[in-house]
Amino acid sequence: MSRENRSGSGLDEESVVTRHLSYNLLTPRIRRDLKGRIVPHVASAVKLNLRDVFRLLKNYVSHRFMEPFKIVLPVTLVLSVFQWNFLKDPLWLIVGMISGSFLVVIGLMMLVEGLRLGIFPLGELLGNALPRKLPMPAMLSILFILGVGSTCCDATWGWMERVGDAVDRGTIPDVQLLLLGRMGWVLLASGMAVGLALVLATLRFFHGWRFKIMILAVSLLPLGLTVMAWMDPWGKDVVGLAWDCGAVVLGPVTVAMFLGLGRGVATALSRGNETAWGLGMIAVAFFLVVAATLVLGTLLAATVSPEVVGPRLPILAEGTTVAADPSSGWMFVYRSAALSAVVAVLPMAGLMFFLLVLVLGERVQGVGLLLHGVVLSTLGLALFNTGMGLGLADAGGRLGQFFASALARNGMIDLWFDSGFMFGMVLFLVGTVAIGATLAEPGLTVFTANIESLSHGVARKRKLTRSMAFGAGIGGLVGVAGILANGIHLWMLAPLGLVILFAIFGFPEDWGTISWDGGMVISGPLLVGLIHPLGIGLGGRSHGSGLLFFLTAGAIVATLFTGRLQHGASSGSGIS
Amino acid sequence: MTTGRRTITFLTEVKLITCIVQRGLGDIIVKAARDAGAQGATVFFAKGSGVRERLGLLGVAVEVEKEIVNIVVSSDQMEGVFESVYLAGQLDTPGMGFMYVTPLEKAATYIPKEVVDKLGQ
Repeated sequence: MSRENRSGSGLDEESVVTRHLSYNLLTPRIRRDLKGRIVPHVASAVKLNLRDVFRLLKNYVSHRFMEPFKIVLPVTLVLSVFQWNFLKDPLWLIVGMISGSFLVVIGLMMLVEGLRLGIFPLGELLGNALPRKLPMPAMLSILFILGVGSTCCDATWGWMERVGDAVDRGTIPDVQLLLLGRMGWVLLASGMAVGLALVLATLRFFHGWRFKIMILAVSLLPLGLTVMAWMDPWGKDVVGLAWDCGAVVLGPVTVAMFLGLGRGVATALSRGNETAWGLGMIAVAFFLVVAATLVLGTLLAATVSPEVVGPRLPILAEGTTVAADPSSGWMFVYRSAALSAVVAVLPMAGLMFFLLVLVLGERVQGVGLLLHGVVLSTLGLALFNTGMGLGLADAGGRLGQFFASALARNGMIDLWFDSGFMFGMVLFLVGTVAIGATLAEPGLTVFTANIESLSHGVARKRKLTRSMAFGAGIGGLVGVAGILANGIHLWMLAPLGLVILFAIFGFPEDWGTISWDGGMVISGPLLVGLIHPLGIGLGGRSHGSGLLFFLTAGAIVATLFTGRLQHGASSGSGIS
Repeated sequence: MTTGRRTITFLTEVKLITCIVQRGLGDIIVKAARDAGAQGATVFFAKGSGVRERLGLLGVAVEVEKEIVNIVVSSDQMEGVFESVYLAGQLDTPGMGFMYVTPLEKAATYIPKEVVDKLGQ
């Protein structure tokens, strides 16, 4: 029978030289001391020749580089063709953007590796030690502080305000101006919301609450507030911004930290099967941040009159000059990029080290590797920010504005006939950018790697990432069509929210959690830096906000269906 | 073979090729094995140590988390599959992995009835 199955290997047999060697010749002789006990053997360091070092590093670097490269390059090329063709940008600007995209790729490579080796394991160690060493109230307060701190340090915010700024300072609605002018307040409110989310998620692990019930309960508040705000003539403008804030709030560093914390806490605390995954923090944080921003917006609108709104913070305005004047801009981009990277990574990493070693008295193994990861994250984020600042982020906003004015010349009725080409171009651009940015999103890479290892390989990283990117692309198309038609409105946001909220009840619990967390993770610096300005450029502040939520919703739905397709295989894929 | 009685056809001359590679590289191994005629593969996740700990700083370039690929092959296939897996996985590079062959006494699975009838006399 075996002969039947035999197949030609198709290999050139002569090309491989084989020989045999007894393993006995390679293994060390063990020695015994006088009492006959084995003396522990210390393996000598392996000295590699230069060729082997090269091959080792080549293997290490090449696929880590190629992964983001294969995604970022096409997106950049599409953007540069659009820039060349529609914006008539000078060549140096486009070359600057393309060279920036190489920095983005290298930055992404280092950032993902750094998060994986430094931030995620630090979070996991800390999360695992907290419940063992501290009573519940102390643990929850520490988690709360971590939530507030990481949100306030996060870098994604910067892109949102600065990029939006570059596009249109004149058309910002007053309420949004109130909020954007008080980013410190928004940060603090969101930080407290995120801290609360960490506490709630931890309580969920402990009590084994079901995720579906919890997310439904948590979402009632922002949904109710949204409807209320919509009734108010003032509040309408704040809704889109609030939902964007929810999507933006967790940057890649925070995501990696929370995934680690969740996994650590859950393995120490959890009683149920599904809660052992340690997921759900991110989705809960989303809704609480939306609620917090809405409350803050309403309060501000009620107490501050629009005339009081002063000039914008100078640091925000400075970012606008970046693309226009490279000679003064590049240094600024680099400095602020490095600074925001340092702020995003080092305080939280330092705090986690401090808590682990000095407060909890844990003996941390492999400190060198953790430090390596932290340093790599910082450098990676700095390079990434620099690369984005060299034109990529700017291009999105200006293209959005260009298409907005091109399409606005025709009424909506004529749109399909006269501007069919432009309309198609916009959709193509948004689809490409949404899919590309999702695929390369550093937070998502860390997230899917975590899911893959939690599910013991049942939920494949690549498949998960692809389905999310596909969903985000579809969501982006729908959202942009909405913006172009009439701006994003409650009747678009609310049903979408309700549908994805109730959809999880038709799906297995673990996939509900994965899809919700994943959907929130995709809106990291890459997506926000590219898509958000496009949306703002297309619709202006009041009509363009809210686009990010469409991408998130699309990704959630796509992931749910991926889970449904795999359900047969994954129903028993819990950690135990 | 009367109806109602179930048969087990034991396969003999079966070998198990096991290949341990870094996380994320298992698909390459599975593809190489299938291209060389292997009919299936099972992958599971593990953590492992080896040359990584002895490489010093360069150890950073080797992933602690591994994938273990189990491939059952016929004894005639074994050399060919082994070779193509070794080459595809670049196991001649430090830290890339380890593989070995285990003889299996017997194996059984679903075999199409026509195949058994034709060959099994």
